[in-house]
Amino acid sequence: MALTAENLSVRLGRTRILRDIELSAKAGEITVVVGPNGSGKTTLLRALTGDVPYEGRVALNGVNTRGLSAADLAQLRAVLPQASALSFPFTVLEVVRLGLTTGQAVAGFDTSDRLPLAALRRVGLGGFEGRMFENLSGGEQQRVQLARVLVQIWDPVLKGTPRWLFLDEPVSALDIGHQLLVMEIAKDFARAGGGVLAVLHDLNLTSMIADQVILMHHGQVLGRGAAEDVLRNDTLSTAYGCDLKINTAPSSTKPWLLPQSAALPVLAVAE
Amino acid sequence: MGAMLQAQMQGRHKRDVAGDRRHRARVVTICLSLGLMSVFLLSLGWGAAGQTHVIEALLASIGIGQAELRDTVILFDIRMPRTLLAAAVGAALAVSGAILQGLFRNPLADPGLIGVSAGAGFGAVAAIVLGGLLPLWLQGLVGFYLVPLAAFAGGWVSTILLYLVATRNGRTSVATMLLAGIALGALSGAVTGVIVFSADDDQLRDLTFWGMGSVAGATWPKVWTAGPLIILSLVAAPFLARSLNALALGEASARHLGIPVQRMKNVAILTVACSVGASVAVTGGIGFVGIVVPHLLRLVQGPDHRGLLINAGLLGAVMLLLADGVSRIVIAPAELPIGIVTALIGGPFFLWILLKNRKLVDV
Repeated sequence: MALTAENLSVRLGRTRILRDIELSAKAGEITVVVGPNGSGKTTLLRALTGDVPYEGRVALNGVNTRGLSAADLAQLRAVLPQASALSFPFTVLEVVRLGLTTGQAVAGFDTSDRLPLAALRRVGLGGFEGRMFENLSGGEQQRVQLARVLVQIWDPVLKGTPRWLFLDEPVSALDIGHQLLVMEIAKDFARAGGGVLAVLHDLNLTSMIADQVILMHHGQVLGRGAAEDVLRNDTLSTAYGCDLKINTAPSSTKPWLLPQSAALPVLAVAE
Repeated sequence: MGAMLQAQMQGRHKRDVAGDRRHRARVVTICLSLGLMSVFLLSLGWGAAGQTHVIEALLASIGIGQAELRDTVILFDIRMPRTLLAAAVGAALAVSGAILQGLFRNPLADPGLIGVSAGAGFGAVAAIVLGGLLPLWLQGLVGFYLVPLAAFAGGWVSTILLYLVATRNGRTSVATMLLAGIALGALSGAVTGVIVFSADDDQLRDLTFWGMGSVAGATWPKVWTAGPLIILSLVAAPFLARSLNALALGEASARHLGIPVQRMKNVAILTVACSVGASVAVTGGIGFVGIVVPHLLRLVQGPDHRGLLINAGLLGAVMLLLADGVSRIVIAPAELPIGIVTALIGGPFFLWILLKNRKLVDV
């Protein structure tokens, strides 16, 4: 069971933003898309979720997503957007409850507040259900949205079919503690058999969590594979256009890095 | 018994989670239903033939006591259609406002403000003046429904145009929406003017009556023509509630929640065109009901469309009945057009919402 893309291209006017992308992400794993600004990471995610018109083929668990209705797709995957503005003054509980929209079409689905409240506790916002969404901080809003998305696909595997979680920069507004919390949630989801595809900026976080890393550059895949194979001095320096040096984290074999420039004195050296 | 009641209330208390406002919406529904019934009965008695005459006539109609023929005629041929029409049009306009606001993801959308009513008006005027040019078989086929159908078509086309102009990449710009609404309204007005210019005397009289924006000319045929269209759209509206809730997160997120967004938008636009078209066809343009009613309700029960659409219908009916009462009483025995009353109340209210929501309009 996998998420696959074949010959995936996206055009905006005459410019090709994505060019012949081939990728495959396995259920039970976390796949992370990284790359510099404008490399097409978010466009890739939005093509995979059908938010931008694309050429090529995208398949979820072997089924072409073009052939699935919105309701079918919503049972199969949930998407956490980068930023979300809410047009009316909903409470936190009312927002998280929107995650039940999908299940309400299914007979025997639990539409009580059990799932929404559990999801809020999971993202560290237990007790926030009565607050107004618009009055929360950016990071809290992002976690409320994550809770909503979790409610939608609370069971990572449904009737033997893995479900998918798409996360577009899920930690961009979060402090380090909550970044780790969200990564933990993604890990649990994958460990339980679901698939996770996330767009991230933080390479160290990526290295820590990803089973597969996809490095984007100019709308193409520059490298794909385990963190150790993709996050290398040469590939990263090419992709980001600056001198990057990879180190090994003291307590593990995973790579980690500090940015440094040839023109500036090195501020921190790790051995 | 008392202990049971208390236990039940505690149970209710336990079930009510913080941030859950569905219970409040239900209470509002009950209050508004009762309110609507009483205002409806009261409004039958506003005017020269007072409450006692009307009660006598009502009772006589079910075989209790006797009433003067004059009172019976006033009640059943004048007051009853007028009251029914005011309630139906109030409900239609308020629900249309709530749907448009959900669709445009903005609390400032209103059929009167953004040119939907003007488009429907254009359709109605065109039907009154140019209807005679249609082939006879078609005239025979649509009959009474020609004016409401034409108003419906006008409202439909202008809603779609407005949506196309104001929405780019799934986002609706409020500034564009309001300005495009003004442009569309002016355009419809101008073309309407051209048609009026070419009307003959009989048609002009029809137009004048129609254009007063009032429920004073209510007759049973008007109730029968507008009623079915309005009821159809009022029945359809609650089915949009779940989708409109999801749409508050944006079109992409709504789709990811399993909502067939494009189809739902088409249904919403049809529903609005249907109810606004029917309303405008029989009463002319009545403004601000669609903006005031949903906004007041959101303050009390929150923006969940499942309770909002139903209660908007009820409160809209109550508000327009009250406005009609005011229009009948203020300068009695003469009458103010009801559009003036709603504008006098709604105008300042709109300004208040605008000031409170400045960030929505600033580009």
